[in-house]
Amino acid sequence: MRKLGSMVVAGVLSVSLIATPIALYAQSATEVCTQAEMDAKRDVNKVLWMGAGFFLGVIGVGAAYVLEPDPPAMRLVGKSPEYVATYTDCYKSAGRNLQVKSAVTGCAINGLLVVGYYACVLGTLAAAASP
Amino acid sequence: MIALVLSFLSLFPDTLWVSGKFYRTLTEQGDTERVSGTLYLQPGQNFFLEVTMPVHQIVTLRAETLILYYPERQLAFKLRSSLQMLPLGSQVFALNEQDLLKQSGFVFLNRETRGDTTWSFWSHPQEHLTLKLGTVQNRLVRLTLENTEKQRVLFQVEVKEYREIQPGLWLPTSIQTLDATTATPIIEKVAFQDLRLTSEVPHWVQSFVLPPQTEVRIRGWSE
Repeated sequence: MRKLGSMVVAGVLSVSLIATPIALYAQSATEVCTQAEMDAKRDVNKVLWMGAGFFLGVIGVGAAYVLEPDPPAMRLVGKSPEYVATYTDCYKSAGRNLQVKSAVTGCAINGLLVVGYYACVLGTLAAAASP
Repeated sequence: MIALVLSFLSLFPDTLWVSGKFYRTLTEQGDTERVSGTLYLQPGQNFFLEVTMPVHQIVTLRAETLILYYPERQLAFKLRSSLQMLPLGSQVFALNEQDLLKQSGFVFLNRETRGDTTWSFWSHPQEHLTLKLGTVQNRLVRLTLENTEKQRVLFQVEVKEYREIQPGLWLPTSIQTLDATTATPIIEKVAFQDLRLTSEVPHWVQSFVLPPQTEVRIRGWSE
């Protein structure tokens, strides 16, 4: 019964908006968009996407572009269709940009490390080969 | 998350719903936004919110898709949602909280009882977080998440005024949340009224489908 009770409570609690920074008074499209961008900035896991870029290279960058982040459902409760349309578009656009930027950074760091490594190896070989 | 909730499907009689009125206020920088409506919940199966104020909106989940439907506008949004579908507090409740916390990288520290409240303390060393869970008779009454580096509260949830809607099934009627992760803290209060177990819900809830003439806007990975 406890587990059942927990499930019901979970459903009831899902009305709650923990960690859901809804724009309270952002009414104009610009303001809604600004709020969505701020939320996306907070939600996107930059370390994760940097790791994806570092370890997966171009594939990681591609995934960052394709896998758009979606705003938490409960942020849109009680909002007008116009708000929902603007918010979701801006959130996803901003989120994707952040993901791609982080993945590219990870990819670039990996590239620099590889180039540095080969430069060191070549330098060592050249030094060893010189009389 | 959704899949895990659905895995409990068999625990609840198919015909029973929890329904009740909800009133939610969000306060930020002294300004308050109010949303109210009716909740219909069939644990592990169906979840509906009929928002009546400030707009008429029906919110429901279908697997990992969120549907926001505006009947008067004959307009619906379908969002392929991520794991953020449910907020943190619900996730803690929906699962065995210990398993969830361990999976999330939290380490159990200790447990102690003060008065009628049992407190359990958890730590996330990598993220410099501590979590304090207070329960009374296995019912959550307080959750506090703190950043130990900055020594400040990030989230705080207070769950109050439990009512027994059937023997052994207790539901809270007041939930207050503080979100201090944003530039300006947000306080949310949700109150429930007339929560009850019932088999009688409106027909549209029993068999929800979008009318054929509805304009559907897809917002998701498949877009």
